[in-house]
Amino acid sequence: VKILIIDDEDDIRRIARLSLGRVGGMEVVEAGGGAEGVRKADAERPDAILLDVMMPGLDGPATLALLRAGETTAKIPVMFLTAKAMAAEVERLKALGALAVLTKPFDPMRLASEVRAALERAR
Amino acid sequence: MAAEASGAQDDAARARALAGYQILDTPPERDFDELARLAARLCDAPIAMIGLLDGERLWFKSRLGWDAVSAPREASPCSHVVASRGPLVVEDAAADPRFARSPLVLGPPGMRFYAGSPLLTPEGHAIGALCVIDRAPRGLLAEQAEALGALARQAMLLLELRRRKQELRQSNTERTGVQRALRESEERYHDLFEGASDLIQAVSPEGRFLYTNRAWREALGYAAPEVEALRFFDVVHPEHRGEATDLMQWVLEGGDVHTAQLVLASKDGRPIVAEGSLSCKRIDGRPVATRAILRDVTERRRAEERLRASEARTRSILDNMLGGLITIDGKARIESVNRAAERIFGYRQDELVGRQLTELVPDVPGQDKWTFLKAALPKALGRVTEWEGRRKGGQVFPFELSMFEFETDAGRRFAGSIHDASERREVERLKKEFVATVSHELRTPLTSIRGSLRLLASGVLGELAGEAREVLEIADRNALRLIGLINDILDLERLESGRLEMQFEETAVDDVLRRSVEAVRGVAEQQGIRLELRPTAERAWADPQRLVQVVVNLVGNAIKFSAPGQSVTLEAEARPPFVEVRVIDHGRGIPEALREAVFERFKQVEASDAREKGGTGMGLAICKAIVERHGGEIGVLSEEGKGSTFYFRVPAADAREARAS
Repeated sequence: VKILIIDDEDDIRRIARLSLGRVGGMEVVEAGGGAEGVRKADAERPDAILLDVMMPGLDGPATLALLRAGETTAKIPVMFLTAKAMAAEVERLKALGALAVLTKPFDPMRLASEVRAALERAR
Repeated sequence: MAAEASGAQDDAARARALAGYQILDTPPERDFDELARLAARLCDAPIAMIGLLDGERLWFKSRLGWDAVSAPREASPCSHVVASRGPLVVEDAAADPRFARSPLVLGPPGMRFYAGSPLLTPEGHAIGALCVIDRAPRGLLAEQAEALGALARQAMLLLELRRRKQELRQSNTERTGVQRALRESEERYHDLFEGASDLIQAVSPEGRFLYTNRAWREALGYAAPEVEALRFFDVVHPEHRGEATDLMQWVLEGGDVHTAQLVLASKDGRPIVAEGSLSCKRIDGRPVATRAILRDVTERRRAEERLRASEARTRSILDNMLGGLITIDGKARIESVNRAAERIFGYRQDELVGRQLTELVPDVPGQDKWTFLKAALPKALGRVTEWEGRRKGGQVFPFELSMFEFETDAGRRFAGSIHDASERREVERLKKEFVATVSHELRTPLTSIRGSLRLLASGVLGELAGEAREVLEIADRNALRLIGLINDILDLERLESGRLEMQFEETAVDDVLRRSVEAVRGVAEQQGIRLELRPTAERAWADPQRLVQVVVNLVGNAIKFSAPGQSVTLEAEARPPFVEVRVIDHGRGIPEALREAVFERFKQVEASDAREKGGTGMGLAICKAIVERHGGEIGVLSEEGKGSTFYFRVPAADAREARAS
């Protein structure tokens, strides 16, 4: 399984890479921002994308819109990663068409299994 | 003809002269009767009469020897005496063709001899005659004729005298009447003035009091004799002498004043505000007195002063209020605004009073402003509602409005209390932004810290030696606590600001208790605590998620403060209109002094609890906020050393149905 992580925080990307790679045995691709994320998604064709909500420049929802607009990326499942855990915020993000909304701080030991569970639910 | 006419004229003048004596038809009088008696005696005749010629009759004032009141004019020789204004002697009437057929000859008194002398007024009118009559023919001696003439003049004098006396009496009577009327009139005015409630005074140009009435004396506190020694300026209040001088001068010079005000001073120095009219009495153009009719308005002035002061005070309060206040009439026309309202809307008072309230509201899309206001205003009655206002410059801003209605003389009125909410809204927005930022900014590094520690501690990055692993676990545990603390702070902030959305629904309390027990089962087992759940069929009107949060918190606390082997019981009971949930432990209990305080944030029974028992010190504060958002209450019963019972009450589902129906 190949996962693309789009987050502006290097440390978060590193932790996520370790969680998904070491704990979950997944292949991980990283992008430090929305625009780069869209390019990587097109180039790498990941099985799923973990997308941070609050980023400078293109934020999560804008990036999601670009992915949906791209021919090659439109169908890739996207999961939001957000530090805003309020119910209303989660509902809003889901309504944008995300497969799941995962909240920060996440448990690195369980991140991979949560991603896998979401993908299975979608299938 | 001419003689007849002249005779007729003469007759009329004679009648007027006779009427002047006011003698006709009066009773007999001794003076006249004595003259008649003297005439009879002197002429040696049995009958003597004093007759007055009145129209067609001869009326007898005196009748001696013949009791007749009057005789027909033509029957009597007296009419001849009157006509000729000279004496007449008839020696034998029966033989005289003028009188032979007279009833006086043919009937009583059986007259044969007659002698008469005229009664001549000073003007020369003959008004009657004094006569003597005998029943046998005879003659009259010259002395007798002379005596008869003299007695006739005497009779005339008597008549004249009588008239004068009457005139005198008349004039006396008239004079007495006028005097009495005058006296009565004076008394009436005196009573009127004395009894008047107004203060009445008359003052000579030199300032002496010519008159004061009772009300004046009572108001100023002087007795009547004291007033005589007073001068006008003695009773004028010292601070107002200047204006009193001007006023008096004006009146003395001829001006009338109808609404003068004088400030007088009573004997004991009290100021008396008097209002009324002043005028000046003049004789031959010279002033002799100023007259004043005044009313004591001191009390009224004082009441007005108090009212003014009270109004000024109220106005001052209204104007110094931080909140705006606008009053409107039943047709939403602005009647008054205070200074704060002027500031809030940017208008001056005079720009608003009389205008429609719609001026202060922005356009409502797709709706007539007036229709909108009419529907929306009643909703603000008695409670705070949020509105959008329009300032003078057109800027739209949020404000809070609460209205109340009140009755005035002019009818029902409404007042709106206004708070500009733009500043508060801005603060709220900043706070929200701040909380979101803090939330994000803290969570992001914590995600990295926690993630790193977890990965290290898990061993996936390689096994660590004993002590290193131990230290790592401490770091991990504390990172987790920090995350919990941040979550709790955010939760509480959202609960207290009312921004945490609650999903109320009919909730099976048993379900809530079971889910809570599930959540803490692991911890309970770790601590060796037995959880007892008593089944319940109660249903609450609640947000089940939040209720679980509360119960988990309470049970978590109970486990923390119980000793291994002890039990924690969960139960619920109907307490209409609430459902009461209880979490009972047998731990160390809570000292009475702290039973209220434990629900405050960061309050724990012992300072070391947070460190030793874990937890953020926010749990119970969050529980309290959640229960209160449900409209319920939370509390604790405890006995030190024997355990605590935490309970909370939330509305029962059926109570809500009852309310709804």
